[in-house]
Amino acid sequence: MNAIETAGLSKYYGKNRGIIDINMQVKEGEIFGFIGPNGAGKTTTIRLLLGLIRSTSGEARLFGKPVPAGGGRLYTKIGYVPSEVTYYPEMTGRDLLNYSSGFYEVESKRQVEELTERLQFDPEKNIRTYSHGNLKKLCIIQALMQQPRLVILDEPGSGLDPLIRKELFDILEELNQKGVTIFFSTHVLDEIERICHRVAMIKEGRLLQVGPVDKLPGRDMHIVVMKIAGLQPSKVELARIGEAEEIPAKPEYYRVLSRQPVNMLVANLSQYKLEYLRISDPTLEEIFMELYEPAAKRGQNSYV
Amino acid sequence: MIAIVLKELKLGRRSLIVWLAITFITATLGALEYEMVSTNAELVTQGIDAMPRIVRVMFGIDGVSLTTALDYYLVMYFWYALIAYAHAVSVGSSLLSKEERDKTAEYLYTKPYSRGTIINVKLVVGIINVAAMALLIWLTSVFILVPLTNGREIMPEIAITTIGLFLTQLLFLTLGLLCSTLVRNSRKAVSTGFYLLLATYLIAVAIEYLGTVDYLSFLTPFHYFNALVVVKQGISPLFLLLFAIISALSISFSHRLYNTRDLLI
Repeated sequence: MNAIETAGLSKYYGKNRGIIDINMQVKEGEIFGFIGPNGAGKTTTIRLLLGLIRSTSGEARLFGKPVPAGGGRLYTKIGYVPSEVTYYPEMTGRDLLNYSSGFYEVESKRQVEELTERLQFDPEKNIRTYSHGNLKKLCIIQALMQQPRLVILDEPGSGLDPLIRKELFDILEELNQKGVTIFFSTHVLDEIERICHRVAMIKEGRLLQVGPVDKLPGRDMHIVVMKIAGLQPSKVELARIGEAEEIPAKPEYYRVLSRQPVNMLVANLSQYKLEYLRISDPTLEEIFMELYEPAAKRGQNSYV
Repeated sequence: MIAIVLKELKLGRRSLIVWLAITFITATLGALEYEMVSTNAELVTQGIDAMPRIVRVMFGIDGVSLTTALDYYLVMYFWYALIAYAHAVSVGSSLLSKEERDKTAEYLYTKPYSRGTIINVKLVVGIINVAAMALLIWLTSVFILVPLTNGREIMPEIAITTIGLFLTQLLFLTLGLLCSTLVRNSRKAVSTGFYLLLATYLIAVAIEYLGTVDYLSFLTPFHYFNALVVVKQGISPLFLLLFAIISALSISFSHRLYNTRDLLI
């Protein structure tokens, strides 16, 4: 069964585009990353999945059931971590956790204690004294403490220091090993690379790609960084290898984005007097830039 | 659900205490003035009669002689009612909208209760709030005003007018709730509620001032359980029915609108 399913899901805010015709399936037990730049429509999609806003057209389903108008029991299965967290400032963290547990029938005391310890969170303070990071921790605890079957997170790493962020992703992976579906949006690509089974890329409200992380377009690319001694190659020569650009801070260094097979690439590079050579797979960051950066901008400093 | 009720009551207690304090201070000031007014009743009545009638109508002192304890209570009732209705509108219009104003809607509405359930629970909280106001008004009338007047004979009038007041509070509560679902911006929702209260007050003033258009009383909840009429004739079944219809429609429309609209997050 799909934990999440959307069919032709669109949302307009008046005449402004939110998302357009999003078709996506997230299988139960998957860790699914949802990536795109700011304003691409990630949060809109999540809010539609949660029934916080209504679609202009199309449909969203959770565990095979249409997202209910006005919420309801279906949300016993879902833990949600929004990107911006706001709670009742008069409460302490403990008050909020107790209040949150009242919405569910699951005993959550043990989970709260474990999560509190792992995320190094002090729940006894007043909410208005919490930093952005601590509010995020509180939000994560209250979303995970009731043993959800699906966890939806919007920019989960924002506001967390690297150690806590790592701990969070460890927790998410552990939950996933127990069968929990994880769906999260981010524009931090190493978070996606680290734990996701599949990703969807969204740009300007439209879904560009959906697939396994290692099958993303651009995964066949090679990133070549090299230093050529002596006579420098012409732009035309380098263009035969791929999209090349000089590295401004390092004279005689070039960075080339090549789609040639490795043996052909090495053969082509062997004609130069190389003082430094590194060939690597592109990071998601580089694929992301390839997909999102306007061609015109990419063309600046480019040899092709 | 009890958790939401308790949370709402806890978070709203300061505001309620302020409203109760305003009512209590009004009652106390009224009680302090009673002796002076009762001993100079004729003089005060002459002074009131010297005022333009529109002013007398606006301040609830038209046709009141102030020579009896009941008259004095009815003048005080007018002020209690204004405070209580303003409170009811304020509570009703902010019950839902404050979650969006305070950015807590994203938290609350992703919990496993439907928006409909949350509306109902918050309505219960609103009813408890307005009931607390009505109870205080009844208590202050009984325990502060009645002993001063030595007039225990007005206890039944206090009871029935307080019931009328409570019903009108409930009506303004539900109308306030409707405002908060019609107007998405929380501040505008509260101000719309107060504009509605003001409009119905002005209609009530106009009807009373003109004196010939009583059939328009259905336009203003101020007249549904008008204290002077309720004391003389009891609660009108017609207006009781109207109260029930308007309240039910307000709640029903609030559900329908709120269930289908985008939350402001």
